[in-house]
Amino acid sequence: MPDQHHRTTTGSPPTPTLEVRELVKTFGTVRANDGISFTIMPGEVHALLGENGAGKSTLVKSLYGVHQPDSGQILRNGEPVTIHSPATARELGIGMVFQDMRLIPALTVWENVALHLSDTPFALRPRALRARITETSERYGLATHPGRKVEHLSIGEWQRVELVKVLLGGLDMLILDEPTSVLTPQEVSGLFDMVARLKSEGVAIVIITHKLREVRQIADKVTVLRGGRTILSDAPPATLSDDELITAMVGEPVAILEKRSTSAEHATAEPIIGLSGVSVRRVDGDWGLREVSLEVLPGQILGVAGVAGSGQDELSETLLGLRQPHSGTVMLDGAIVELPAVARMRKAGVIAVAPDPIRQFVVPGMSAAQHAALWNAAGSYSFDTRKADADLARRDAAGQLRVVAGSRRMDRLSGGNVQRALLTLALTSPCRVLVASYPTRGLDILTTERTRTLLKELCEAGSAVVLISEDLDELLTLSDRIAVLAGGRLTGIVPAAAADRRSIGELMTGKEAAA
Amino acid sequence: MNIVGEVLTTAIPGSVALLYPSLGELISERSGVTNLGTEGAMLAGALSGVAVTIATGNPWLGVLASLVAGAACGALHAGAVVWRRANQLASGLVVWFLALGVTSVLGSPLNGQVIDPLPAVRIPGLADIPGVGPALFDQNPLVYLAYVAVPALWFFITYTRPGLTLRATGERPAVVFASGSHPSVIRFAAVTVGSALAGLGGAQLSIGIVGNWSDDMTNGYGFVAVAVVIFARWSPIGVLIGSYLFGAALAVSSVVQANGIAVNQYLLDALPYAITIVVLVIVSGFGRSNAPESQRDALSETQ
Repeated sequence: MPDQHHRTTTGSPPTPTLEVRELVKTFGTVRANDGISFTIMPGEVHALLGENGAGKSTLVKSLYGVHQPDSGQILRNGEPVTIHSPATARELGIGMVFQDMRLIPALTVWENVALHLSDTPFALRPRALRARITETSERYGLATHPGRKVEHLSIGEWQRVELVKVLLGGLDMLILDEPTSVLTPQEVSGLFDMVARLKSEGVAIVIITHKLREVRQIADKVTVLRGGRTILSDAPPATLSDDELITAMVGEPVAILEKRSTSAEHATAEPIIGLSGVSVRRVDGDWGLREVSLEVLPGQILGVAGVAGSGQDELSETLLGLRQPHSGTVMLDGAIVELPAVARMRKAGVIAVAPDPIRQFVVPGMSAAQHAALWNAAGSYSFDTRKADADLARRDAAGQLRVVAGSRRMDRLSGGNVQRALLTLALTSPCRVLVASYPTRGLDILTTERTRTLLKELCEAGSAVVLISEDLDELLTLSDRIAVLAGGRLTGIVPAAAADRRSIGELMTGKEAAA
Repeated sequence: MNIVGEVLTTAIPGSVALLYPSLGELISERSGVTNLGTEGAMLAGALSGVAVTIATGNPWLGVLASLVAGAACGALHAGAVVWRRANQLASGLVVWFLALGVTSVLGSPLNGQVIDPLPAVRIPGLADIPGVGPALFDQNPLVYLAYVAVPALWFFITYTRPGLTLRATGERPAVVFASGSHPSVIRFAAVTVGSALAGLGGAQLSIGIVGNWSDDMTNGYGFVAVAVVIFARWSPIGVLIGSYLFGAALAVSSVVQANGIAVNQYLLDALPYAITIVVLVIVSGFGRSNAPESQRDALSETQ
């Protein structure tokens, strides 16, 4: 339970829950945090805003004892403290929910909680612990099933379990690392309700995000980091415009892409790919797609929305010809194709931005230029790295995504740089259909906007784009139509012009569209 | 005595010699380390058990020595794998070969020396159950300990905090580290304790059943133990079933042999291994696997 010993007497200024002074953390020659200062008060929601590599994660990991800062001071309730380890942080009443959630899928919810709590007795008492979990869940509106195995939970419940686990440890400061990136809009509002509840109990909350909408929605204060330095410290977001916040994050103003004016119907256009009643089984035997019918039209962006794991990967793999459907037919230019037919789809001009580039795109040991050569290699015998290097430079000039030098080894690059290399190759290749899975995931604002512009240009040039994304704003901005998946079913295809976050969110939870 | 009782009387002690290393391997693998050195730990346990029994005249000191010898083999493997990040399979095989060579050199003077095996302790009342009574309850104490060991281990890994931490270490050591424990220490302890149990299995063979030492006397029991754990899907109950099945097959083949039925002896010797593998392969198709996550890559097990 959150402690409440910070209620301050009226008159004297309250003691900050946490104060960071001139914090420095270097990794080798990189100064990840270069003199960061900010203050968090009790009952305050404090947003940490910044681009990739700004040092947000490094900073909170120092606060949670994962890293040891090189210099600087951390004051906890006015007292200087050294946080040696996550265990020390928890003893100090600091809880953290990581972006890559720290639960063990093979264990049940209560077992995961028992593992985390320091007061778990030698002989486990499942019943008592389950009751405690249920009580905390209800108190904060975090519906959980204590007896279920974590691997069977939805990503949203997974996060709720993580929150319950952290709350049960007792805290008066909670750090949330990009908590909303995996949630449906409904789940986001549930999370924010819980944040408001904690706040009313005097808990200080640090939330890392790069979404301005969320800063506006819940943050009392905002601190902006760029290149490891604090650009803005403890500023009330209401006093700042979006442009000011973006300029603080990026260092220069960025033009945010306007919503595309979409023509509602392309009645005349023939679909390039058509699925009718396609069902796909996953490796584990469950249905990946069930009875999905849709058409991919030239010159249109078809957005695909859904909670993670709703069938997006199966859909993209079917469009790319990688999967053999269990039932249903796939049409390419009006003719039925028997899948799998990767080469045929590729020949017809279907290319992809893979959902998991590190595993599906990167060949360990090979350089960026060699990846470019591989990308072009289809059908040819020769493998000319020097030519590929020049090709990559030419593509970079066209794409403007600031790709790394061709000589760099891909398996040693960060996720953002890998994504930039993949996007540079995919978005500068001539194609008829681009199946782009989460193209802007993990990218900073500047690259995100550039990528969206390239997608838009591709579509204007007459290609079909299938845009699979977790970012509803991105889908609403770019798409002509939005297809929504829930549990492998297509719950609706709506024109983007007529859709909003709420209606898409409802379809994502599995409610069918009213006919 | 009836035929069931006769088979059981041979089957139970042999099963127990496989049960201990299997339980040990289970503990080790649940922490995320495969120990192919189990066979070596059994050899070391078997030899040191006999040697200490001869030297002191007390078979219980022999049992103690076998635990220590097994633990030493485990510590060697764990040291290589956990602290030096050596390949688990390679290190385990090296420990086996090392133990095979060392026990055969050190054990050569003991070849042919006979000791009194551990005495059977008759449990009054239970041993008088007609048919199965003598087979189950007129055995040496290591057999009785094995009866208790399976439920005890099951309770330990299911309902105690250290057991939970052990399982979690085999799944995601990073989470265990974040919860304030040290996965390396847990793994080292698990492999060492597991290997000590393998040494105990060796002692059951040498001073529990036959009462002497001979070269390479474990006959691949240690490797069968590794297989049993995998086919038993990392569950103590499955290990129990697998071990007793193996023991039963062993007993059947020796009863066949004793009754002078003309079957090729080598085929007969292979029978228990073949039966165990076939049954476990069939059985392992049911239910879901408890394969520890960190083990899946090493064993190329797919979900």
